[in-house]
Amino acid sequence: MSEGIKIEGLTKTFGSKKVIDNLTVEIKTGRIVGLLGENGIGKTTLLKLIAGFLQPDRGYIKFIDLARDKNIREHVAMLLEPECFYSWMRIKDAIEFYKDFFIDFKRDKAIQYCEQFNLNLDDKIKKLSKGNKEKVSIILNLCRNVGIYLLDEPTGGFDPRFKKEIIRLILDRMNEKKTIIIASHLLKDMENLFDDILILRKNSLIYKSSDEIRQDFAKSVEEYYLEVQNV
Amino acid sequence: MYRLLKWEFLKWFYRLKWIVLFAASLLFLFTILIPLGVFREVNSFRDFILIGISGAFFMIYVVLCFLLPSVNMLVDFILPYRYLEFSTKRNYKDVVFCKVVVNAVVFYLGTGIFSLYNYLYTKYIIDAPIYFLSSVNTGLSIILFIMFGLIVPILLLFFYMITYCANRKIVYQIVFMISLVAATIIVLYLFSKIALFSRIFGYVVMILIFLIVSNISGIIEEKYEV
Repeated sequence: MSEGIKIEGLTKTFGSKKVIDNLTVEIKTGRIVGLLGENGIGKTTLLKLIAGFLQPDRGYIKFIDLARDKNIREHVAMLLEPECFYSWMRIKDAIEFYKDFFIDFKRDKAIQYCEQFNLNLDDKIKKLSKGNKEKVSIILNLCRNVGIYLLDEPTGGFDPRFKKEIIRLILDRMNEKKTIIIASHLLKDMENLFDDILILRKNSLIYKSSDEIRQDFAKSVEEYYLEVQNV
Repeated sequence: MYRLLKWEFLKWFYRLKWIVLFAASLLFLFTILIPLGVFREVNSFRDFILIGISGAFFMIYVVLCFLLPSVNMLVDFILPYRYLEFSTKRNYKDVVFCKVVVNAVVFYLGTGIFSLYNYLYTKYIIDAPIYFLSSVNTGLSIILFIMFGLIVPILLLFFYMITYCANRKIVYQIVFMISLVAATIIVLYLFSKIALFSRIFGYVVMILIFLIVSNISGIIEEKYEV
């Protein structure tokens, strides 16, 4: 298994607040990584830095399998907040938008998933319920065929059935050439999905495989997380 | 480029459809009121209606031509849509070019609506008071477009990018933007005292715009983050 993302000395400051401070970690390809940590610790900032939405003040992020001339944003699919879609957009407009701007987007698959989850393609996104908006957003994200998927709290407003479906969808996307990083507080729902976990803390981080945690510490990921956070 | 243009037009179709529908309704109202003889006699009711319609058309015209090109240039970089726009890899020179093309269409759509109103007005209301009427000839419309469809939106985008990339605080951005706009107005005013509408003035403005467009693209590619 090769090294997928190499992060070296990454630092990001907003105003006087250092959100990410000298972060160094290597994330391997073919893994589903749970990104954990308290609110405000920098999970979303880290995902945005990986996606190229933010630029680091110091340090770098290197994508090992990425050709030098290839743009990061073409290689990474970042889950967008549903509010990012234009207020007039219907689900089918959003699908067309993705089809037009992402060559790796599977339009037919997106339509199939929408129908499967009872989403009417003619409905305006802004008029959907919170859960359905998030469904649209995650379907659009997962119907791209890229190397790295970044999901920030992907199962927040979902009903139990869709949570299961999303997990199945994520596993469908997965193969040894892809990396999925999921920031989530819902450890109970997601922990069986994670191959590795990356816990961000104030001045350090922990990067371990879930199997290691279960075998060496005889704990679930959630128990381990609560323990290292001193809860 | 084709896809960019398509989506720029689509965005504006959805944004403007109510304004255009409102203008079309007013024109319709205007054309059915004339045969009914509402405007033939001089009375206060006629003046009231004409003032109302003139005011509405002037408002639509101002919004379409003077404000919307700048809004169009800035909106995708400010509102939450910026995440959606940013996630797609685009060449920002193409983005600015497409927005200028859409601005031209929106601007001349506004000019067209305004001219149609003027045409109906002069054709059917012979004794119309002149203060209800204003005209936009081709020369004036070109100058207005260069000013409000091209120079002002590009300058505002340039100022916004400088401000946004320097500091994320909204208060700072507003103050800095207002300061930059005020400084530009003062410089242009002083410059226009010497050479308003002369060839040299035109050339200098065009060179500045070219330099700014080249730089905006670089600033966005290197510094802009969401």
